[in-house]
Amino acid sequence: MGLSANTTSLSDKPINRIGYGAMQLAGPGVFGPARDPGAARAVLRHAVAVGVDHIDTSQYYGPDVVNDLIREALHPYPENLKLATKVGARRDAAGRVLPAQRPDELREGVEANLRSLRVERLDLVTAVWSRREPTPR
Amino acid sequence: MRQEGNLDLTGISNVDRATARRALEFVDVAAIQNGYNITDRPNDEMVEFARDRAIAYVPFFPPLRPRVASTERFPAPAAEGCPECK
Repeated sequence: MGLSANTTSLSDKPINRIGYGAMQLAGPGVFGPARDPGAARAVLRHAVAVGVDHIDTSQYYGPDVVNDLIREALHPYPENLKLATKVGARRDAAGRVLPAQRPDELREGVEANLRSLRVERLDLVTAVWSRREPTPR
Repeated sequence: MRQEGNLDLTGISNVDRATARRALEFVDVAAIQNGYNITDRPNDEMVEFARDRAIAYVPFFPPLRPRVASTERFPAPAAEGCPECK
């Protein structure tokens, strides 16, 4: 399969160069529910309809809000759709983003993404590296 | 977890070259996700690093970091745990 200007490869798999980053679908500050969940789901369905084959998300967007929207809008997922998620952070009750990089926390992160997206296997899991300790605020 | 079949490919985010090299000692890396846009060019070296190794470079905030009020909550903690918004 030839790669066009619009297509590249992720590992050995063809993928469109431009995917859809779903982070902003959650509420203000990527925390809490979307202002208009119906519109958010429509955006996701439209993205896939116009050819997006790769959605970038994480369980800690919301938390759970963005993955829930993706699942509600698109599950069962089109076969060619790749879901890329992240682990390595978590949210506290105030919405602060805290590192979650211990092995058990990374495992928990993968499991939370599997659960909220309702898949048995994630296409790409990115470990977010954080050099800093959380600061109080 | 990869061996258990829970995930297919692995990526790393918010890494410099030294951290990326270290990660490559332990795991296949399919993607590096760092910032990249017209005002964030220090990652040129990481784009090169990825290209030289046939690793996908997946920029976050490619059209510029959003400056709307709704991101007020995220940027400050970003430095702590979510570098996407640093």
